[in-house]
Amino acid sequence: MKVPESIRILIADDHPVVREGLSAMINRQPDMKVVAEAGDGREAVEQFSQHRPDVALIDLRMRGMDGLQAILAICRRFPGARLVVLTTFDDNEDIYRALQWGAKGYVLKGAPREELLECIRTVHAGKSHIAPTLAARLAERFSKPGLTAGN
Amino acid sequence: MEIMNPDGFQFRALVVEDNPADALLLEDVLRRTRDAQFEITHVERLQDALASLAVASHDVVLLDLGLPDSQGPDTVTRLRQSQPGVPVVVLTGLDDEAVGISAVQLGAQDYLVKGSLTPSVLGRSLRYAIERKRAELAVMAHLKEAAIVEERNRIAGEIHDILAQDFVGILLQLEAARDLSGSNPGEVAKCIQLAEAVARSGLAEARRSVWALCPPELDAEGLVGAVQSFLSRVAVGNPTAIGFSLRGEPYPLPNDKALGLLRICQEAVVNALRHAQASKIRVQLTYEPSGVDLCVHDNGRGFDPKAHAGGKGFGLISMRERAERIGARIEISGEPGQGTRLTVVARTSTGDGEGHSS
Repeated sequence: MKVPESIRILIADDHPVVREGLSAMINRQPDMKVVAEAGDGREAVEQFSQHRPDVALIDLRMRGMDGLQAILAICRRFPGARLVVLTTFDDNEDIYRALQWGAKGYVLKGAPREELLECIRTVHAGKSHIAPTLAARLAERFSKPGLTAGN
Repeated sequence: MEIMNPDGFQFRALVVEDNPADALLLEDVLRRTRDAQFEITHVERLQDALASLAVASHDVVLLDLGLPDSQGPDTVTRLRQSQPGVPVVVLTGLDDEAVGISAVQLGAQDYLVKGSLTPSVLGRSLRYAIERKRAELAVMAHLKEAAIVEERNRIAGEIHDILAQDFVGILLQLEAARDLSGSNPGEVAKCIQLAEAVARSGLAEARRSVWALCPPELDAEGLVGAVQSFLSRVAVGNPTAIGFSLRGEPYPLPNDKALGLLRICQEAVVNALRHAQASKIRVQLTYEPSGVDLCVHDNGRGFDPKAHAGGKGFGLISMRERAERIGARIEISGEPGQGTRLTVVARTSTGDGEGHSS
């Protein structure tokens, strides 16, 4: 039986305990491996450039350069990047922008970890993964002209 | 408040004048004003004026400063403490311009010299007083709203950045503990320890947030203790020398007054630290029988109070607002390069006065 190669993952979150917790949880999965961690947006961009992970989990709200800017920077430099947005609240306007700019998935922090793991696998497989509640709202928003310009 | 009618405006004016001849003259002049109609109520004492204002709304008050139960500019202060929303126009004698000016500084909209009143001067002054006050109230309401929104955003930000992240961290550790419970008891203990540490720091943050909203020291230690513990907290790791002194014998203050003074003190000290580049800040509380004064003095780069007179600078506005709410007065003196001295004079009002706590 062929052992599949691990999904190489970058985690960017400014809360150290969250970062370490996510990292430990992911590393316990047989098919995943955390290859880099970042505590703010700038580090996320640097680490992404250096390690070129298969999937990057990026918290939207971080001190210093925030996640949204990091997502924009990464997607511009690496158009094929597979990014998953992490957020604390799902009514955040920035989620829409992150997805418009090229993020492929979105997971609410504190969601059951199966959801996060499934999201990582889906995005790694080249598909999008968006929570159903958000997907409905997203469709509604993107159908409105004028809102797609990013503001 | 006013009723629009085709002929002009109709306003309700309260005339507070104890001299019957002056009162009659005033009413006569008021009746002859052409661009507005005034419905006049006449009382002779400040107490009666306060009672009238409490039961019926008036658009403007014409106030004599020599009443049987109140004399001088203090009359304006007492009226404003009880009814801050009503515009006041003061009547002075021929030689009393200085009194008129100090009445305006205390919040009257205008002063008029008795004996030189014509219908058009009086009518215009009252109309302006009413309109200016209305604009002032609208600005205040807007600023209050803005301050509330800002405060809400700050609280939401704290919950987001700190408390929610701590919960996520705890959750991750608990999940990990569950994963490892069958296989690795040593790792489980580590996860639980980490979860405990995060819960503890989250709790400390929650306490800090709640303290900022409603400091318990104020209950336990009174204003002096709360100011001192605030100062010792900001002093930690700060190169600025922060001193505190107390004059007089402290006594308990009404809650809203103590909280208002504490907030103004916090704002003034934080302003001095952030913007004034001061190396020394002195805070002084003075307890007099008639009330409490707070003084925050720094040796920083100072500022020009005139440039801020219109209320630019959000801190200043919210300090003034807080002061107004507790019936206190703020005086700020300073010149560029000379440091800044902010004094809050919170004297106990003679009447009910506590007014509008929120």
